[in-house]
Amino acid sequence: LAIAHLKTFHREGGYCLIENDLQMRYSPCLRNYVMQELALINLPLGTTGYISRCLAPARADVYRLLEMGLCKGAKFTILHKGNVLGAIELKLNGSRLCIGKDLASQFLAIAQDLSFIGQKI
Amino acid sequence: MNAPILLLGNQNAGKTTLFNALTGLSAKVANYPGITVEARVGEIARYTGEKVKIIDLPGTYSLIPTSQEEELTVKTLFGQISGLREHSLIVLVIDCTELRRGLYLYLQIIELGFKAIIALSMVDQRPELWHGKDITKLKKSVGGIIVPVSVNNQASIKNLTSTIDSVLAGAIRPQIKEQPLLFNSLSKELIQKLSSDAPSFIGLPFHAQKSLDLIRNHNIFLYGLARRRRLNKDLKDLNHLDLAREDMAKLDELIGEIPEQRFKKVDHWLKHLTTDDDLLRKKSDLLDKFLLHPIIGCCFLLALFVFMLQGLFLIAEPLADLVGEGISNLGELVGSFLPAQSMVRSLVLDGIFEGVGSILSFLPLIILLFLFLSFLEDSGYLARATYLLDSTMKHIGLNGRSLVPMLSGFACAVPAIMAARTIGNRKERLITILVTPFLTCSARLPVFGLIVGALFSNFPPLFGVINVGALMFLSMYVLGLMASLISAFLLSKVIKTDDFYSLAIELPPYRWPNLFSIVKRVIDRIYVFMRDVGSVILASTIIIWALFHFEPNLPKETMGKTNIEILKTKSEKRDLSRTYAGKIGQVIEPIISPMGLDWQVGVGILASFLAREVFVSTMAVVYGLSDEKDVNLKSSFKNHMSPLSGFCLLIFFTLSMQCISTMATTRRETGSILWPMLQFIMMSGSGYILSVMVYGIGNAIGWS
Repeated sequence: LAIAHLKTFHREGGYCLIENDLQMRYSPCLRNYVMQELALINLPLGTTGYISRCLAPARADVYRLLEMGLCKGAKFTILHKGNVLGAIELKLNGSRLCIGKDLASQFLAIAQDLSFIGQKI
Repeated sequence: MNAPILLLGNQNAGKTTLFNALTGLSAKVANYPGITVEARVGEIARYTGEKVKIIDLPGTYSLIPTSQEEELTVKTLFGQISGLREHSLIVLVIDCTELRRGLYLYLQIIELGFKAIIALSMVDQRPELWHGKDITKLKKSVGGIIVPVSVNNQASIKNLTSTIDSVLAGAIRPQIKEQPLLFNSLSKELIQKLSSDAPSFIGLPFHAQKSLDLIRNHNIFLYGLARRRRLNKDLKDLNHLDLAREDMAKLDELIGEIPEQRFKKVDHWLKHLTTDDDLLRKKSDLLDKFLLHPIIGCCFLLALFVFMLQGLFLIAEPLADLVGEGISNLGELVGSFLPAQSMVRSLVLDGIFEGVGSILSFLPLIILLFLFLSFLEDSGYLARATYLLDSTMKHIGLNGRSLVPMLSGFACAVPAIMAARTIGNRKERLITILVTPFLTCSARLPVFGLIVGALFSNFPPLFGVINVGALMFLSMYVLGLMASLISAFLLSKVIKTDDFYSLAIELPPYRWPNLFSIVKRVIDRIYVFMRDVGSVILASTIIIWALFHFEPNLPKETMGKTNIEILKTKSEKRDLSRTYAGKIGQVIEPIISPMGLDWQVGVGILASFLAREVFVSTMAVVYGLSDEKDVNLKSSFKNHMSPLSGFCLLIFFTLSMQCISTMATTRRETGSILWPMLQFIMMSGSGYILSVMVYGIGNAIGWS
């Protein structure tokens, strides 16, 4: 199951990782993987972490975010999470950045505190 | 005379405020060929007395444009704009509270070999960057020319002007070139290939081809630009380079690393500064807790827009009436000096003054709307509203910024379409422009009032409670809104562009807007409206005047008399069916008869293309009445039309495009005649088809 999910993870850019808690609780392999990187959109409100990777730097809008400072190693905190389509507001190097769900899913991050894993986000 | 100076910077960096402080009242809005976005041009005086042009370009975060406005900035920088091939200096405005992002742009500029100095704006918010140690440290680490500026401090403005003067005179030299950050790991063969057709690489010549390094750097930069923006047309030009797949992958990878490397450099510059950026945002963060709250924030936003619309209706409409009345009185005064019963008099009164009146009647709406929007934008709230609404608007293929123009569309489509400039994504801006006129503007209300008052006011209340007239009004509002949303959804599926869009905006800290800057911006908008839209409206008014005035075989005795005069005398009742407008009405009668309408209404519809409300006065003329407010107009209307035909006419007026001013504004904003044509076909086509269908169904079920 874990391997199957990891394959999906690679194919869909990490989207499906925390689709349900079951995957989290009963798949140690997947859990370890998750502990390293999570899509920005999947992180809960208030999380502080570092950007670890950008999945599609060749996309114009993703590249623009890289140029706005959301690049590897940038420290961020999630200040607000919007409704419905889940736009998020980040604190990033003293400035505030709002990004849509699809863009937020293109950035993987390492959270400082992982206690939220296994809980409903 | 020196080539112009370019004023560049991030969005919300205080660029325009600084531009106004530098140029005073001399600035004008300038248009350049092939571009619908304007730049503002002013002049600053050098010590020698010579004047140098300074151009305020739209804000950008990077030299890779993602919107029309940013494209203008980048094209100007690269000498791509006709009439602006060269520039003598770049003044980069950096908000001192957003140093990191501003210096990133600075790095991009100097990497390409452009001559640039930094104007550090809003330093009153960070005094240590004005008079403290930090400014010395920053100057030392960056190595370029940095001038702290506050628009509230004249001495700092003078200091900037004198620095610019010294640089232009060659007394001090800014840092010219930063070593390219990457590309060293590329193979020599690949670099050779990329450098081989240097000047015309993907069609953008590089104006500063000073060294092979620069050309190479620029080529690879442009290559990255084409790749990132997926400009297939441009990429075809790369085919002859015959790049191997792995080379392309390597280039992509390297290009993805550019921002990271640049920010490392910027962080190195900033590491000695002492200020904690978060301290500056405390108040803004506190306000955002409420204003960005999913429920409280949305309620506040809704209340704000209701307030705006109320303000527009309550203040602008009486003002517009006052302006209209003033123009009418002035027309009568001018008319008294012109020979009675002359064609010139008729042209001046019914053509020119009518046209000027309709242009000026838009001004109160435009002024108020743009004052309001500029205030919201400069205070930093507009970015928050975009964030709040983006997810909702996404469902119909638009973005958060579309809501402001669409709401304004309930007042008037002309300023609403102009307000769509704030939308960065070209596709979504276009869709917003195309669908906004569906919304029920104030000009439709007199027509609705006439039709509903004449045909539906005497109906018994529905279920004993609901007034049929009010229901008709409400249903037309809903119909317009639904048509707008459905069209936006469909257009978002049909229109394909190379642009990507997903919400990515920076929330600036809340600030009190600079009143002078806001007023200047509103004046610029009015100037552009008068220049580009006003001329079209005036020309169209005169054409429609001619259609209603001339007839193929005009009797000599009525020639030159205005409709008003003819109506006043009554003895000389004019037969409009003989005029060109009447003839056109008869020609289009077979087209409008499936809606249950006759040629007389056709003449009214024709006249309403000038402005919808003109329908009422035209129908008064067509039915041969002396006063359009006369209750007789309603009774004449009732005699000529069934409730079903009236309902169809309501639908037609709700959906169809009958406003030359709106079409002229669309043409101006889109830069093409095709889009207003499409707008006309889409709106009038849907209005006509729905009206015909309703009439057919109504007849079939026996409702007449």
